[in-house]
Amino acid sequence: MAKSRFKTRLSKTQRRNNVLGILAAVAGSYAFSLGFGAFLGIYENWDIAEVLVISMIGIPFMLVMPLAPIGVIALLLGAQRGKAKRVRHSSTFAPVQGLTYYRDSLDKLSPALVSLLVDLDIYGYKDIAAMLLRMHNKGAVAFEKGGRIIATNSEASLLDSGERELLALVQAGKAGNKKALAAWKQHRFIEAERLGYIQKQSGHHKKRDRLLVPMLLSVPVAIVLWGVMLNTDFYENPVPALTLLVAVGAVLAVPWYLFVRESVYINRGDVCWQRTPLGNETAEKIAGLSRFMHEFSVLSEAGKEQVKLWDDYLVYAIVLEENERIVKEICRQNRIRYRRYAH
Amino acid sequence: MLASPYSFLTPYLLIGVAIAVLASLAVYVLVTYNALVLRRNRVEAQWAQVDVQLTRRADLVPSLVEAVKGYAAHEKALFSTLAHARSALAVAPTPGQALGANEQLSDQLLSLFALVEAYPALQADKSFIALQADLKETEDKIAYARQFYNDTVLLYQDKLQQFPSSVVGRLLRFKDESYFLPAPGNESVVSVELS
Repeated sequence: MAKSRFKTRLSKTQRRNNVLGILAAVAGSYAFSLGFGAFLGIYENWDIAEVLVISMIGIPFMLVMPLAPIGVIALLLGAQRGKAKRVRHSSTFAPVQGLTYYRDSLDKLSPALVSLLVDLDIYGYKDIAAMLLRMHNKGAVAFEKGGRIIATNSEASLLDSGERELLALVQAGKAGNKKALAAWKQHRFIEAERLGYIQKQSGHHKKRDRLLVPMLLSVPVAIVLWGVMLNTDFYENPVPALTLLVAVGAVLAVPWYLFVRESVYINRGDVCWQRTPLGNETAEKIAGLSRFMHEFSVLSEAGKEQVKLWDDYLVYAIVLEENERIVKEICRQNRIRYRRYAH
Repeated sequence: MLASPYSFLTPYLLIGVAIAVLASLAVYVLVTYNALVLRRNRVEAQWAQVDVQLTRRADLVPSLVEAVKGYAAHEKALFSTLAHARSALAVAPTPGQALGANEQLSDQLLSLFALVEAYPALQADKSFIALQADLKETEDKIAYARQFYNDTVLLYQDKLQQFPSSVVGRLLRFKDESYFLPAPGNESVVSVELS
């Protein structure tokens, strides 16, 4: 059966920030190049033509001007696409039964485990909000008037280990503590492995081979660039020379882009994990439930007080990015770092 | 006054605009029709889920009656009403009638559980406890299926009632769907307390 993928959201805000980041980097690089050139011109009393064509330690200074922005764009795009590739890889699973919809509430699986099986990662803000809401439904925590969560010390026996650990953090006032939450998150990975949903991926190191291609590709391109640089007459024909330089620089940016993309893709711990057959089977159910909730409900508009009515469905709606409103509310009121749905 | 050299284009322009407007209208009607059909199908699909659970609940009734009969055989009137309510639910042809029959069955089940209170031995009976657990599970499933059903009805009704899709909907004779709401004073289907 063909592989399936969870459609996790790269939010509009995140996309906008990426574009703004690239534009800012380009503008910044040009401003730096021009500013540095102007500084040299004033300091050394050169005229503007000299500033534009002057060589520094044998390398034409003007190289910086066209190549820096290209390089910055390549690096930023590479990092961004590398992250996206990692998320895509992590959220791909092998379906077993070919389910379109799954209508049951996943046998009371922990929200953190559900989130982990979606993209092999746990996100503090939404997963913890879901856990807290579920614990509230079980009576182990209560929302104060301002929305802050307090432990009620009752019904703790109904909680699973992840919830008990989180409850301890709530009791200690550490529900928003980054370090404590990182440890909690790490324990969820270990627990998922113990329950047989995920396992360490063998042969992960072979993925480093992916870096060879861009590295090998960059050598001939760099030689060509060097040749162009040495054999171009910047004094006589600056415009065609610059155009040629930019064109070659753009080609050189391709291996840079590939190198950064692959580095970001492989250099993260979560790529080391993969789903077991049980994990794949459960992931398929989760995907079916996600589709079902998206198409057959308006859980996106539910408030946290409706958890009594919807029970785990609302909790899973939070984890599966169907309801952002409740996440925002719980995170803000409990000083948990809130981010929009983005990876 | 001199005529514009392009005046001969005017009728073509008008025809072009008219065709563009009609084509946009046709596309809108098509898209709205498909959206309404999709939502109506979802309502039907979700009703089928509710129906499965209602049937399962109705199927538990004879076993429950048999269990209670062993202790309170003289309550023939109640058993007969229960059997009648169950068969009314089984043969209900439309969601509306099924909802009515379901309400009746719920009322009778409430009476049955009220009766059981008087028989501690029956309450301790293992098969009766198992039946109660089954019934509880089914009630939960009915509750969730009902919520999902109501949500799909809401999505359908929104589309059917909002302008301008309401015009297309009425023109193409799409009918209103009814929500699955409990009768006043009977907000929960039947509350089964597990001992």
